[in-house]
Amino acid sequence: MEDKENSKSENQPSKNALKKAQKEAEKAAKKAQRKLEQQAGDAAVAEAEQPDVSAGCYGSYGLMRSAEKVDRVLHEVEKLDSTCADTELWLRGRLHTSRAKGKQCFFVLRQQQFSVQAVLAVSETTSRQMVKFVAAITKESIIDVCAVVKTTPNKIESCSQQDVELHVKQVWVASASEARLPLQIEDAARPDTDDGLATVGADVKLDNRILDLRTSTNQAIYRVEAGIMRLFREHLTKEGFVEINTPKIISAASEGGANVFTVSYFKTNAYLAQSPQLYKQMAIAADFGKVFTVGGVFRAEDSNTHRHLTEFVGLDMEMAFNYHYHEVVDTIGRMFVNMFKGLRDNFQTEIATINKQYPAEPFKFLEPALRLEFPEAVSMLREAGVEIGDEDDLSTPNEKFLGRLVKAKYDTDFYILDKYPLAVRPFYTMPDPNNPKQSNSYDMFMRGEEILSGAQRIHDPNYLTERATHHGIDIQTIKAYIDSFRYGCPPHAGGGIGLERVVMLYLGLDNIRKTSMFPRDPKRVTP
Amino acid sequence: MYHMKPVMSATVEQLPTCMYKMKNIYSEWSDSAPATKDDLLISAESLLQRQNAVISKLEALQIKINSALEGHQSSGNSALNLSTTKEIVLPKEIVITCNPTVPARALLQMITNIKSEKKVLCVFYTHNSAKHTPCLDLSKYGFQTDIQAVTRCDKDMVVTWIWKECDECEMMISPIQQIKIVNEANICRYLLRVLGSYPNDAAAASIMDQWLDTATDLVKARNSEKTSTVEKISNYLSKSSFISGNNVGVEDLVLHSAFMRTVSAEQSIKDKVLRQWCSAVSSHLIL
Repeated sequence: MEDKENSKSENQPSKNALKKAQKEAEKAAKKAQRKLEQQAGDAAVAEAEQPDVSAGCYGSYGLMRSAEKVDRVLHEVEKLDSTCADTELWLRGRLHTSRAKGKQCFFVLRQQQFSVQAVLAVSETTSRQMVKFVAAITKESIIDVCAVVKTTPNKIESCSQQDVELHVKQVWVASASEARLPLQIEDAARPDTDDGLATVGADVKLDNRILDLRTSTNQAIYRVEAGIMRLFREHLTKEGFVEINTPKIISAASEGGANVFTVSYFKTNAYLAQSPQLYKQMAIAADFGKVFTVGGVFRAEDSNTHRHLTEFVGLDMEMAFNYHYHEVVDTIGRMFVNMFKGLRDNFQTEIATINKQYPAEPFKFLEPALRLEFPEAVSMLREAGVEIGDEDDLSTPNEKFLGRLVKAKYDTDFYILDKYPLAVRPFYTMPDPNNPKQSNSYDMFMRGEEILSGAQRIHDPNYLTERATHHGIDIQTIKAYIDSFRYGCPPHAGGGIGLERVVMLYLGLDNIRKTSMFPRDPKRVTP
Repeated sequence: MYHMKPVMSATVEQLPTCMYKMKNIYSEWSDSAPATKDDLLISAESLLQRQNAVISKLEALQIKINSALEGHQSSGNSALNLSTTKEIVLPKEIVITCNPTVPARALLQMITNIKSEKKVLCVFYTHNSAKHTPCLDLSKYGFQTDIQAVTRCDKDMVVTWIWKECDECEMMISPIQQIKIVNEANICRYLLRVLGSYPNDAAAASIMDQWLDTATDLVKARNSEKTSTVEKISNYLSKSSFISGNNVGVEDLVLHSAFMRTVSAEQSIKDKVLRQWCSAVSSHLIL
């Protein structure tokens, strides 16, 4: 036909003839295509009729009801690297993403903070049906994969295990996810700075916390949080502290009186503890020497800020000292430095993972902890042009500014500010014997935000009564507190920190809701 | 309703004929070429007057300078007082960061000297970036870890020493503007000035400056330059037992510290004079 056409055009290329030839050619092409398609369809049908070579290599376990014990070692994604190249192993993880393209299917297997790429391609041992099955598994389903580890020439940027990929042999679904997800894990894990790409709003994240917590960032944050708790316990136990538990349902407000949640208690009302302070001090009066407690603390403050929660975990400590309350300041300072060192040395991977989504400058600190005195802070602020009185408390912006000044001068994100003015401290704070305007109290700061407030407490009932009267407090309401010092009490000091706030500031995050697994604030009590 | 004035004036405006009117520079010569004797006299007189005014101004200036110099001499300082340019006061607190592997011994020695005269609180810290343990025990220099210090505010000065991973010894002057004094020799110079123990005599001060700069050069110089600097020091020491004269001075301390940092031990042993000087200065140091 081609020859015919050629000869025609060579002889006399009239317009009509040309058109005709073109039409004919088109027709022929269409016919050929149709034929090809039909052939392909035939082949597919033929294949479907063929026995599935991968039968028994994929499928669903169904509902696992512990019917049998399987003797199989499941490997961790975290430990996959080039050393395990060419070995066949089993892994369990979530199907993070999958992309099927013709005879191939790429998917990412995610296990907590770690992920690895897997490849499945139609071959002699892998059937088309299997690839189709894997491509249809819904995202976030939990799957078992048997695969051979292979090193890759190019680094896989999107996964945590960048040097290896899995060549899949078997895929089994252990627990399927629903197809529609309220949020995409990838979007939730995206830094806010990535322009143009979808991110998930803070409220959507909190409403679907279970999915949100699956992001590698959140996996890392709560591991760091657990680490801080562990380091706190370990260090204080090593220093001879005793862990105690204090009641959370109390009869009267422990601090001040306002900001407590009222709960009905049989025929009367009770309150939720807003600080374990009274009980810590009672433990000291009961000769426990050094005590600490980890537990929930409740504050009925209607403040919707980035650093307030209505329920948080308090790490509180109280310690009897021998002669000077700096013994306690020193102990707390050592505890923090030890905590920072522990985090720096043992949580590098987690911190790096978190920094990918929320970049922050690494936390800097001095050993021993830097201790400044309040008048020094005031003069530093004045030098920088801030108007502040000698006995004024630091406002939040001034605190932040002071934090920046201290960082610029000493290059540290953590410092202790000692000798606060007596006027801005609670009635039970011990006044400074050398300066009537100062007190034996201290605050500690991380990245310019207060994390601990503490003081030497008055341990003499008469002096305590005097100070309370001076503050205009009705003695009857705090009688129990004063009475606990009547039978002799060692001089003591202490303080408490909010776990969520420490984690937030250590990691340089901007919101405390990012470090509370199920945050409670004035507007949220679910999930 | 409105009373209008004519916009156009009745008189015809004089339109310019060119953009800028300039004096004809040739006219003086061409038009009134032969200047009269009177004209010449007048111009000569005005020139004389102007010159006299300049001379009187210069004289007034001279008197001012003399009086200023006299004022300084009467206040007890001879020659030019260096500290008059700007009054530098002893700061309440100085923060020094130093690499733990290259401790600034001269600076530490100076701080110890200050301690004997004033109420100074010395505290030291280790920054989290420091990879090495410091090769000096600062408690031997009277430094404390902060915890032992009871009060900070009633001291004349607080010296905060931070061991940190940095190239050069640094002293923070203004944290807001991040102004620092870099290098041990420069910090020593600053402290001397602040304490008022820098030589008041300009000649002595420049000699001091020269030696302090030599120390800086020694730290920064390349190997080839180093040998010439070492030779220079050695030559000087062959005439005098110490650089500052008969006793160990700040110059000796700073140079010695720079010496220990840069010149290898073998090289110092080779030169007998230097070796003697080194051991003499070392004996003055608290180690």
